[in-house]
Parts: sequence; structure tokens; C-alpha cells
Amino acid sequence: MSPDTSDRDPITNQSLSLLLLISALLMVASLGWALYDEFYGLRPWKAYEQEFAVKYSAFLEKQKPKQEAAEKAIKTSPGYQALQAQADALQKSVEPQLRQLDEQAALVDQRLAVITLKYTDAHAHVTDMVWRIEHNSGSSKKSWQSDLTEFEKGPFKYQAVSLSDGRVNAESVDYEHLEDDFKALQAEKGELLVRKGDVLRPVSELRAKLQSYFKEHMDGLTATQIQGLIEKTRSMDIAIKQINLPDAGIIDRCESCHLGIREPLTITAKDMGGERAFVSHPDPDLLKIHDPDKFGCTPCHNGNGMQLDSVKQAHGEYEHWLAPLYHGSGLKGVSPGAYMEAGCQQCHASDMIVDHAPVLSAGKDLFQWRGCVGCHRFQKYDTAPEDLTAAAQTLDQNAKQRAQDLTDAAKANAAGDRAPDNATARKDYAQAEDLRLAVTKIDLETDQINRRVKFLQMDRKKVGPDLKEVRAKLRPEWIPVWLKNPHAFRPTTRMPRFRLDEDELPAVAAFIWQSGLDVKAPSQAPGDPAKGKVSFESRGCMACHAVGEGANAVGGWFGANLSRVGEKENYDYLVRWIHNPRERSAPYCPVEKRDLTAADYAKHNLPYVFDLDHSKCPNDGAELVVEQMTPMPNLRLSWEESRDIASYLMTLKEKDPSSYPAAPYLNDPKLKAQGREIVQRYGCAGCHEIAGLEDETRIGTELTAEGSKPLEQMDFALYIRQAKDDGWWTPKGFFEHKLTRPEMYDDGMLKAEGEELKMPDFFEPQNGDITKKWTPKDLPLESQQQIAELTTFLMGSVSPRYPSKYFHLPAGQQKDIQDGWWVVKKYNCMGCHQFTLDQSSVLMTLPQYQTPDGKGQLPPRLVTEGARVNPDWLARFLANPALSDNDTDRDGVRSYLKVRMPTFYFSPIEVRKLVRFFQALSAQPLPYIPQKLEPLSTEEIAMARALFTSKGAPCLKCHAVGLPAHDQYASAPNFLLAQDRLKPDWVTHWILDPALIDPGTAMPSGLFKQSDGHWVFNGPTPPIFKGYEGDQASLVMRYLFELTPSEQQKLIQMTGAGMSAVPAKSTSGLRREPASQASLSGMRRSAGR
Amino acid sequence: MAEHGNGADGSSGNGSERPEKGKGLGVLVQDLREEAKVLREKAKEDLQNLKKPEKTQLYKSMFRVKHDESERSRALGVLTNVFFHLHPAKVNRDSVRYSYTWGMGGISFYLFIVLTFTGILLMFYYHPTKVQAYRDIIYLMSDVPFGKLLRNMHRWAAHLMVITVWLHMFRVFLTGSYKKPREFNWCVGVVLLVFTLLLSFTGYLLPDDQLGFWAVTVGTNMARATPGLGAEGPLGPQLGMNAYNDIHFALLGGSIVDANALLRAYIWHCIAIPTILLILLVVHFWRVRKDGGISGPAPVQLESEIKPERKF
Amino acid sequence: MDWKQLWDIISTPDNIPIAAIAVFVPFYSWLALRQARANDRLIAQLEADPQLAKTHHRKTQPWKPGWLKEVHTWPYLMRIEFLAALIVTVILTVWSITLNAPLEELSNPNLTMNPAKAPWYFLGLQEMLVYFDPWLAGVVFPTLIIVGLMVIPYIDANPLGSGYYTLKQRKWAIVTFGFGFIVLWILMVFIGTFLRGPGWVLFPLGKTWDPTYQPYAVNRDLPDLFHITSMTGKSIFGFVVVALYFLVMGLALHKLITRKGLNRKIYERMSLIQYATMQFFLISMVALPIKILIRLLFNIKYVWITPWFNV
Repeated sequence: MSPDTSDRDPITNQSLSLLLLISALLMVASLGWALYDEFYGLRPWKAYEQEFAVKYSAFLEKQKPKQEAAEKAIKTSPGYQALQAQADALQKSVEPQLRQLDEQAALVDQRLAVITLKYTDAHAHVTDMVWRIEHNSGSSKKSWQSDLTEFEKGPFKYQAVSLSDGRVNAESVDYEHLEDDFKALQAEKGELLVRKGDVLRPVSELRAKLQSYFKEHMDGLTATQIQGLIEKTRSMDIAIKQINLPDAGIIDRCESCHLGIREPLTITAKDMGGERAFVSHPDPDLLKIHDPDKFGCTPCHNGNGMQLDSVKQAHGEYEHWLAPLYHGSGLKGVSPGAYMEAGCQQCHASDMIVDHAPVLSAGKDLFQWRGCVGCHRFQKYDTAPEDLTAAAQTLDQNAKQRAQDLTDAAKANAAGDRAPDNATARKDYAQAEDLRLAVTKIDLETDQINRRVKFLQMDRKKVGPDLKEVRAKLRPEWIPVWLKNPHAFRPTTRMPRFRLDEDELPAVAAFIWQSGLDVKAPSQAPGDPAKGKVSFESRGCMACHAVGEGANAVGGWFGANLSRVGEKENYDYLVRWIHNPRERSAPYCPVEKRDLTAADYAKHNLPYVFDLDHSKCPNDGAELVVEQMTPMPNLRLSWEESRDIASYLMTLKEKDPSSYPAAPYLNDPKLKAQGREIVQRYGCAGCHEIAGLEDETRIGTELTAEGSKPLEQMDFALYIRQAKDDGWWTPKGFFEHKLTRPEMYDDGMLKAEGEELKMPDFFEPQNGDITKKWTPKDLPLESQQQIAELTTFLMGSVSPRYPSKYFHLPAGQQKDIQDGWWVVKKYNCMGCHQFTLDQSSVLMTLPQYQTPDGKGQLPPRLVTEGARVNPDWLARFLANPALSDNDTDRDGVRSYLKVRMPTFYFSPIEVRKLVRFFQALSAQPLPYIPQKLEPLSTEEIAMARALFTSKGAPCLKCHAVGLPAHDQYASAPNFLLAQDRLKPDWVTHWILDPALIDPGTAMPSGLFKQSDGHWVFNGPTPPIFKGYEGDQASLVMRYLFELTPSEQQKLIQMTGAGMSAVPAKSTSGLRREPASQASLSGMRRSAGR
Repeated sequence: MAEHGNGADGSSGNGSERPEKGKGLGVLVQDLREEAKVLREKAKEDLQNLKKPEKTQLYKSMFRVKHDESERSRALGVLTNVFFHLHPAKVNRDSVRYSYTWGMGGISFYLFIVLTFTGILLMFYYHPTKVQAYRDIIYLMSDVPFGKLLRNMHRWAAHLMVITVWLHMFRVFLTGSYKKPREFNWCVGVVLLVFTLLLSFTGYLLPDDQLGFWAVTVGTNMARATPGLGAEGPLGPQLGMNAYNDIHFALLGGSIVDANALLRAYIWHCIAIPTILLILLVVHFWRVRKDGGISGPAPVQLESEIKPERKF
Repeated sequence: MDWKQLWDIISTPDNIPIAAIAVFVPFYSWLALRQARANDRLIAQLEADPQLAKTHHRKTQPWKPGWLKEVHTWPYLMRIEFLAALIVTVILTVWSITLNAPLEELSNPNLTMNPAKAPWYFLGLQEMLVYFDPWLAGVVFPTLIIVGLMVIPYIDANPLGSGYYTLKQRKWAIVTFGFGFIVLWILMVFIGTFLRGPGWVLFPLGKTWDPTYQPYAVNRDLPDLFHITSMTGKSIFGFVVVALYFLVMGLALHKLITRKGLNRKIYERMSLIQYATMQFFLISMVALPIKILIRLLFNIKYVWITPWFNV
């Protein structure tokens, strides 16, 4: 720009070109930037795909040699070689045949080639003419016809090879022959092919064998497959990989970056140079069930499947995406993938156990076991109370209706009597009749409902003990100590710590003490602690209960840890409890809403008896609560044994009960009202039975869809800002912290008395210092795990976002299995039994069951129970495991076991569920139709006896026979049970190879061996068997199913001396070796004896 | 055999015809030479003409006047161009200084053009329905080529336009440019301002996200309180207004912000208001010209020179 | 001082325009003021020296005889326009690349946003909602503002200062407009953006916004202070008060206007209608801050209560 001299006009002379240039350049630059942003800045996945292509093909290249080696190894392995040789040999042998066939075929082809030409041409000509003939008439028709005949005469000349001698010679035929020849040749050709096929078949079969052999020996991909992958990867085009499911509104592009997910081999981050985005799916089996093309990714994992312009966006980890990616938790001892399992819950809400999702399943259990259900409603959890109230209402209505009808009927009758004429009278009487009919109908319905109510009450369990019994059960001065902080007294307890202050605590204690029934358990003589200890450790108590604190706790987790039970319990009550935990001090009438007393029964001069058989209220006929609502079963122990165990338990204490400070205020009536108010506020009645609070409803919010509650509605109180800054302003964060220290959301808030958050503390910090604020990190490991499990469960519990067809609604046997799990978990059956191979029972882990003899004492594994037992028998057994009403101090099946199948007093509903569960678990059809067995002929019976009593088959050594002297050493059930109990098919399989069905069983394998088509006894067969052609295994089976007590007596007599007491060692000796040898050695031993 | 034959025929034929053929060829070549000369001349000529493109027919047809430095053609350049002739041929020498006008009016207009352009492109990808609206935006941002840029530009241009319009008004007031004879144009300007705000506001709802939804809810709830016309406004109920017949309902096509509201917002935003705005713009520009172009910088007047008589 | 939150507010893409205003308005005010000053100096000089006034070209821009009084639009104006368009485009493009237009979750009538803020350019009105009933803040005021703006040319009887920046010659007009535009409009936008937290609670600048905070304030109505209970009483009382306000304020403004020199002259040039209209709008405008003040200082909600409307 020129200087603004006095006479030059600054405006006309000023030049903007520089400015224009600059801004033009800027413009271009910004457009360039826009372009870059469009193609790369906003498309980070492109970089990912390129990187993947490089790294993955490199990885594959690395794999190739390995696989090639493996391949080579197999191809050179003798097995393969043999087959190979076989195949080649066969091939060679058929070669000449083939060659000859081929030559023949060649000739035919040559000839056919020539003929075909001629024929097709002629044929075309003929058809043309035929058409003309058909579509003409009169003279032209005729002329055409004559032409045709002319033409068909031919002659058709050609040179062709003759099939007989391969020489070429001229031939001349008419149309007819031409046609025939042509057809014949074609037939010939086909025929030849077939023959060739026949010759080759055996060869190709062998080759197929070779293939399959290779397949089953080769693990992973073959080199060629890998090569294919490499090509695929190299030629992969850089584009968005998308799954689109319009019906569910799913558009998932996750695979645009996570390219390895569906690859057929396992890819770790390490393989891909540490890029975690490229790993293959950690659980391919899971992926098989949930084909991404049908389910997409986000339904399970959450996140913003459509977004691709940044990781944060794609994972939905920003304020405005309501379903952020389910992420591994920051908690210790929790698998990084843990929270991913939350994704399963939405569709698998109705499954109690979700395969591939251990954490979620654990969460589902915890929700029940920890007692969350006590305060929080959750669909499908503990529905008994609601069902009961519903039933009560219908009953109430029915009663009203009934009364109404009766009065109406009476009125109608009266009217009929006073009727002026017969017609009206008849009408009135008819009406009366109808009403009475209605009444009977109502009565029937009422009975049904009552039955149902009874069952519901049988199945209804509370998480905590019945507090009506406190006066009979507890030492009063212990109560306040417990209430102050249960964890201090019993670290592993389920009872949470309610933050009761100085004046609340005594009030609560007083209320509980005073609201208890004024009853006493019958006083008991002291027992023998030493014997008691033995019983406690052998009877199976430890499947649920542990003794010892912390690391040196031994026993189950399901029930209370009994280490300090001696400090709190009343001996007499404890005896009664052990003898039958379900026994109640007084029945409760839900209609009158009070506990009945002897007086009530006396009024109707009834004996003061109440149990499952006498469960009607004498006053109003309502179904009473006659059992304690505890899952603890009745072990059917004698009073004496109960006393022993009780007195053993009373010895378990850290300090003497008398050292507890006295609590006189417990009897202060002034405190009661206040205490009641507090107890109601904290919803204690959710877990405990408390006199006067039986009908309390849950105090907490329903959690069925808690996972989809908007963050804004979650009460972070004063922590919002901190949560946002520290990155836990998410449902996950909320749950984790809430579970860790529920009162944290009261921090710094001024709240009126009773306004504070009610949720009690379930977990305590590692250092046990509850005066300071603690965070999830401060908790002991297992607590953190439990929190992670519950959080997973809660996060997953969302209101359905997808069409119902995506949900898993188990039906048929699947449903039976899931229903069964609810019951199994409810009563902790897994404490003693094994249901699936991967699951182990508590007892299996206890020291006393590690020795060989101990192993022999383990309760039966139920992996194949459904296939083994007759469902009808199972139902009977579950209802009454003693299989006898008078002699109950025994085990119906395995009287030889110390550990005992207790009586759970299942309702028919639950029995049915369990039976179906077992049948479904081993895929058995229901209903069960027992197969007809042909009766044994007399000589067959004789043979069977001979076999059973032969030295070679000492069946009766181990199997109980009902002789106490012998049975104390028995280690197998009595044969007499087989008839009702077992399924013939199973028995056959069992006696053939027990180890196959139940590895490590005492029953020796290899008792029978295959000999021309059927099984014969594998050992010195008794002479009588000479010339017997039948299957000896099935003979034995059928004999078992015909066995009668008298027959058994015969056997015993025949065995005679052999029946002398055999030390249990011998049986356990069999058990020591693996099943296979066990059989043989077993044979030898028995033979030697 | 056959090949040989051919070969012989060919050679002999050639041999016999060479002389005449040669003569004919010579003639042909000469003609061609002359042709070429002429062509070369023409080419020279065209090259010459190409040196000054404004002489070409194409150019003339487009611009109708030649663009030399001359007074006349400079004036014509503006007057004969449909876009440029919004301007006068000449302007106040000082008004081209940025300091006076701040260029806010022009920038506002430019932004309006940008908004129309981007807006139309956006309309291709958008359905004003509850089901699709939100998805369309996500789709637009993640899939559509330059979709994100498009959306951002539209929104930011809108915000910027609000600012520039405000500043334009501010400037016009400070320079007293609304004074006689420009009173009316000022009024038009005020209406334009209002419509600019409305345009931006109606656009707020279209993505159908929380932000827009609540902004519009808050905004339209005020309409409830319109005196006489709103269900909650003074005298509204007395005049029989309720939630289902008042102005708020009329605005939203319902008692709450929902599908209908979305559709209405869409139509107001994309059709109605832009049309009105455009018409008013035309008037605005027209009046600027008719009222004597840009108001200044004008020579200052002196208090001492105020004519005493009132104009009424 | 909660810098993080402050930063969050400023860096919210939708608030960028506000940041822009914060720059633009002061800058352009300054630009205008500078030119006004220059002009005023020139005016003073010319007023003092009539001789010079006759010859001078009366602009602060340089002028030499022989220079064109008018220049051709093409290229002198066009090129500038083109430049402006270029620059704006660049700014827009860069802005659009770097900042994403906000998109929140799908609209959900059951989940209220807190605070639910109107678009930034309406925050002024939303702010008014705190002090006035919706029908006033949401309907009457906007209308008044629009009408008020439109009548400006017709009530401004000042012949001076048309087409050039000046302060001296139009002090009154500029001060009023500046008050309306900068204080009552721009400032409110800023308050609404930076000081209004969850629940539309007024937080001091940089104080952490706490959604649980609900300040306690008893808002009384003016009549209550005088123990007027009956509705009619309240209505009449309120009317009287408002009327009084108009009277007093009117008189005050009148004194102010007619006090001295130029304003006096302008006043004389005005017709009664013009003057009345001006008075009305001025008084109404001044009423806003006054109402705000009495609310903030004395917690007075309504002044005038009637069965149909409250003011």
C-alpha cells in the first residue's frame, strides 16, 4: 500500500488484494481441514481397520507354521498313515477295473457324438412336420404325412465307431433305428457311470474316514484355512461394518473397530500388539448361542452402537447417552468382565441361573440370601406374602357371599312357604335350591384356596429367625449387644447393622423382648458334648453351618456361623430346635391376627396340637401358621442326640454369657411403643416374624426396573458434584456406593429424627472401624465381590427395551430346571449334593470328607438322579426321606451313611417342582411310564441266585440287606428298594459300567464283558449258566426288579458265612484305585475271600 | 496357393496405376496446403482474440458490458447485474470504511443465505416425526457425508445471525440512521429482528432432544399466559379459554409439545417464516435504496442550524 | 470459586455466542464511542467558528479537494463485501469443525431438565419471569419491546445526529437505548447464563450449583404491608400505587428532559402524542429495574393485585 500522501485518495488507491489473498488462502485451508475432518477426523474407525488388517495378517502369518506343523504331525501319525495306506491300496486294486470302464465310456462317447448330431437334426425335422400335420387339414395334411413317411425312411448315413470292435465304419439306417440307437447309447452311458461309482465307493468312504480322522485330531484351523483368513484380511475393504435389526431398532457398528470379535481363532491383546479393541470374543460359545447377526451387540453390552466418531461416543460414555457400555468394575477381586453380565439380565430375568454369567447368577442368589427381598419387592422373588394376601381377600369375599346366599336361600324358602299358588312357590324353592348350590360351589372353592394357602404357608420362609420365640430362645442381655452391631458378634452374619442411637437401641430391644411370646421350651437333661461334636460334624449340619471365625471357619455359609452360639442361646430351646427347627411355640391365625393359646383349643375342647396335619384354626377354620418360617430342615434326630449336639453347641463361646451387662430396661413397658415405631420404620418384619407386625409390607422401593431409573432421579444427595468429578455419577457408581455405605447419602445433611435413610449397613470396612466414612475400596475382598455381584444384578434389571421375541422365556424342561433351581437354592440343597459336574457341594470341601472313608460318607451325587429314579418314588422320598412314618430316625435309602437326608416339609408344589427339575436335568420324559419286564423263569431265578451268591460277585457285601450287624458296614442301598425306586434302563447301564455314570463310585466296573452280542459275567461264572444264551446283565437287572424280602432272605442264607461283618475298609479299598482297575482288583479280592 | 495369387495381383495392380495416382495425389496435397494456411490464419486470429476475453461473444453474452476502467462500464457493471444492482452505482466515499457500518447488515444477509443453503440440504435428511426426527439427527451426524459439518454450520450460523442482527440494529441506532426519511425501514428492520429470533427458536425443537423439548416447553408455556388468549392469562378463563382452545394449543397443535408441535415447528421453520423473512428483506433492501442509500457518514449538523419550525 | 463449573458453562457449545457477545458488544461500543468523540470535537470546533463551518466538509474522515465525493460500488464496496463474506465463511467453517452442535438424549416429558433454560437470546425474558407474571414477562413485555423499538423514529424529534456517530447531540436517546439494550437485554442474558443455577436459583458467580439448594424467601405483596385484606381494597390500592408511580416518574423524567439546552429544544419540537408515547415507554422501561430492586431488597412480589391479573 502506498503511503497516504496528501493528494492521493486513500479509498480509491488503497489495495485490499493482500487481505483478499490471505483470507482466500485461509478459506482454502479451512475447506481442506473440513475435508480431512470428514474423511479421517470423524472416521477414526478407518485407522482401526487399517491397523487391524496389518496386525491380524501378521498374527496369522505367525500362526500358519504352527498349524502346518500340527497338521504334519497328524498326517504322519500312524493312525492316519494306516488309513492312508489302506485307501491307496484299495485305490490301486480297483485301478484296472476303472481303466476298462473308462475305455468303454470313451467309445460310447465317440459314437454318441456322431449319432447325436444326426439324430437331433432329424428329430427337429420330424417334430416340425408333425406340427404341420396336426395343424393342417385336407390335401396339405395328406401331403405332409407322405413327406414324413418319406423322410423317416431315410436313409441316414454316417460314419461311427462300433462298440464291439473300436473300428470306424459307415452306417445307414432309417429314423426309427436312429432314434433307438441314440436312446440305447444314452442308457449305456448312464449305466457305465453307475458302475464306475460302485467300483469307487469303498475308496471314497475310506477317504471320508481319513478326513474325519484328521478333523477330530486337528485342533484350531488348518494352514489352508488360515491362508484363506489372510487373503480375506488383506482384501478387506475399509468400510463401516454394521448389524441392522430394524424390528428392535438396533444399528450396531461396533465391529467397525472390534474387527476380531467373530474371528474363528482366539486373539488376545498381546497377539495384536496390545490393542484391546481387536481381541476375539472371550466367550465364543456364548456368541454361538447369541448370533450377532440376530442380536447385535448393544442389547447385551449397551453403548451407542450407531456412533463411530469417537470411542467415548461409541461406548455411550457421555452424559446424554442413557445406556453406557457395561464396564468391568473398579472393585478388587472382581473379574474385569463382571459388569458385562448385567447385559444378560434384561432378557434372562426369568432365569435363576444364567449360564456363562456366574457373577449375575451370584447376584440373583445374594438378593435372596442377603435378605434384600425383605424390604425391596422384585418380581419373582418371595411371592408368597402377596399370594397369601390375595387368597385371604378371595376367602373373605367368599365368606360374605356365602352368608348372603344362605340368608337369601332362607328368604326364598320362606317366600315359597308363604306363596299364594304352587307356581310361585316352585319358583321360590327353585331359587333357594340354586342358592344352596352356589353355597356348595363356594365351599368347594374355599377348600381349594385353603389347601393352596396351606401350601403357601409351608413354603413361606423368612430370612431371619422368628422373634416371637426370643423369650424362650435368647438370653435377654445378649439382645442389645447384638442389635448394636451384629457384625461385631458374628462377622459373617446376614443381619445388617441398623444405625440405632443410644435411645433407639434400648427401645427396640425392649419391644422385641416384650413382644415375644411368654413360652418356655421343655427343660432338658444335659447331653454329652463330645458325642454331640461327632454328630454335628457327621450328620451334615456343617453343610449350612460353620464353626470358627474368619480364616479358620469350617463349614457352610448358608446358615449362621455358630462359633459363639453358646453366649446367646437357651439350652432347652436349642435342644427343641435341633430336634425339629420347624416346631412352633404357638400357632398363628392370620384371620384373627394373633397367636393361639391352649385356651383357644380348650374352648372347642380340642387338644393343643398343631402341625401340618392339624393346621385348621379351631375358632374360624382358617389355615394356621404351624411351622417356623425357617428353611432349616428336620434331621429327625433322637432327643438324646439333639441334647448331645445342643450341649456341644453351648460350649461354643468366646466369653461367658454372665459377663454380659444386665439389661433391666428390656422389661420397661414405657419403651415398648417407641420401640414398635422404630421397628416398623426399619421394616424389621420384612425378615423376622414379629408379634403384631405379621402383616407389615415391604418398606423399600421396588427394584425390578431399578437399572433404567434416570440418573437425575437417583438420590446422590450432596455427592452429585464429587460423583461427577470422580466419574461415578452413573447407576453403577450409585449402587456400589449405596451398598457399601448406605448412610453416605445422609452425609452433611440435616435430617429430622427418623428421616434418615433406613437402609442398614450390610458390609463393614476391612479394619472394622465404622466411625470413619469408608469407600468400596476399604471393604474386605469378599464383600467387594458381593457388592459387584449385586450391582451387576441391579444394573441389569431394566425395563424391557427390545421386542419380547428377544427375551428368553424358558418353557418345558428349561422352565422346570429354572423353577427347580429356585427351590434348590432356597433350601441350600447344594450344601450336600452335587447337581452338575462343575458344581461342588460344601461337604465335599470339608476336611472330614477328604479321607477315603470320608469320601464314602459323602451324600450321593445327583447329577443323573433324574435318569436313575422313578419320579413317583422320588416325590414320596422328598416328602418323607425316612420312607417310613413310625421309624423316622433313619435314612430311607442310605441308612449306612452318617450324614442324613433331612425332612424339609416341602409343600406338594415344591415337591412337584423338584421332581420335574431332576427329570428335566437329565432330559427324562414326563410322565414316566415304567417299561414292562418279562418275568424270570424258574431256572433264570436259580441262575440269578447263583450269581448273587457266587464268590465272584459279592453284591451283598456292600449292599444293605436289613441285618443291622451287616448293614453297619454296608456302603450301598438295599436291593429291595430297586423295584419302586430305580429305572430299569439305568440299572442296566449302571451294573455294566458304574464308573461311567458316577466316577469314583464304590461300585466296581467291568463286572460284565461283551461276548458274541450280549453281556456275560466277567469272572468265574457259576456252572448253572452252562448253555444260557440270554444277556446276563439284563438277567441280573430283572432279578433285582423282582426281588422280594423272602427272596432276599434266601440269598442271605445261601451266602451264609460270607455275610459275616466285613470291615468297611475293604469297600473303601476298592474305591482307592481309579474305577477301571477297581473292578479287576475288586474281583480278585472277592475271589480270594 | 491362394496367398501367392493375391500377392501377384496386388503388385501388378499397383504397378499399372502408379502414374495417374501420383498426379491425383499432387493435386490433393496442394489443396491441403492451401486449406492449412487458411486454418493457421484463423487460429492466429482466435489466439489474438483470446488475449482479451472480454471481447468474446460468450463473455459479452454473460456480462453485457465490457469491464474497463471507464466510469460508465463500472456503473453498468453494477446496474446491469441482477445481484449487484441492490447497490447503487456509486456510494458515499466514506461509507466504504468499515468503521461506519461494521458491515453487520451485509453479514446478516450473507448468513441468511448460508442458512438457507445448509437448511435445504438438511431437509433432505430429516423427517418431522416423533419416530424418526431424533434418529435422523444421529444418522445425519454419524453417516451423512459432511452431515455433522452441515448441522453445526446451520446452528452456529443461526446463532451468529442473531448476534449480527442485534449489532446491526445497535449501529443503526447509534448513527441515528432511523431518522427521516428512514423511519419505516427501521420498523421493517425491527420486524426482521423478531422473525430472525422466531426462526432460530422454531429450529430449536426440530432435533426432538431434551434441550429443544424443554426450551420450547418453557417458551411456549408463556403463551398460556397471554392476556385474553391464554388459558392461564388474565381474563383468559373469563373469555372461555382453556388448555384445549387457547393460543398455546394453537401454537403446538396440542396441549403438550408432541408430534403435532414438531410438525408445526418444522413448517414454520422451513417454509412460513423464511418466506415472510425473505419478502421483508426485499422490502428492507429496496427501502435502503429508495431512502437514499446508506445513511452516512454524513456531514455533521450543528445545533445552531436547527430550523425552529416543527413539522406538523 | 468453582472454576471448573465456570469453565463448563463457558465451554458449552451453545454458550459460545454469549462469549462472542461479551467480546463484540464492548468492542463495537468502543468503536462507536471513539467516532462519536471525534465527531463531537469537530462539532464543537465548528460551533465555535461559523466561518470554518461554512467551508469545512464536516466529516472526521479526511477530505481533499479533487477527491471523489462518491466512489464506485464496483470495485470499492464489492471488494469489501467479498472480503467480509470470505472471513465469515472461514470463521463459520472452523467453528463448525471444532465445536459440535449439542444433541442431548431423546426428548422425555417425564424427565425435567434442571435448569430448563430457554435459548440464550430469550434468557432476558426468562429472567423477567422471576419478577413478573408470565403474561407480563412472556407476552406484554415482548410486545412492548417490539412496539417500543418501532416507535423510536417517530418519537425522536431530534433532527441532529442523523448519519454520523455523536454523543453530545443525542445524549438522551443514546443513554436510554444503551440502557435498554445493554443493561436490560444483554446483561440479563449473562445473568441467565452464568448466575442462574438449578431451580432457576440465583447463585453468585462461580458458586457451585447445588440442585438441592432451595433458598428461603417470603414474598409479600405490597398491600399486605399496609394490612389491606379485601380484594377490592387491594385492587384499588394497587391501582393507586401504579398510577402514582407513573405520575411521579413522569414528572421526574419531565424535569430531567426539560432541564437544559438541546433536550429542551427537542422537547419543544415534539407533539403531545410523541411526548406522551415517549414518556409511557420510558416509564415502563424504568419500571423493570425498579420492580426487580424492590423484589430483591424488600421481597415484594406484587404491587397491584386484582382478581384477573397481578402486577
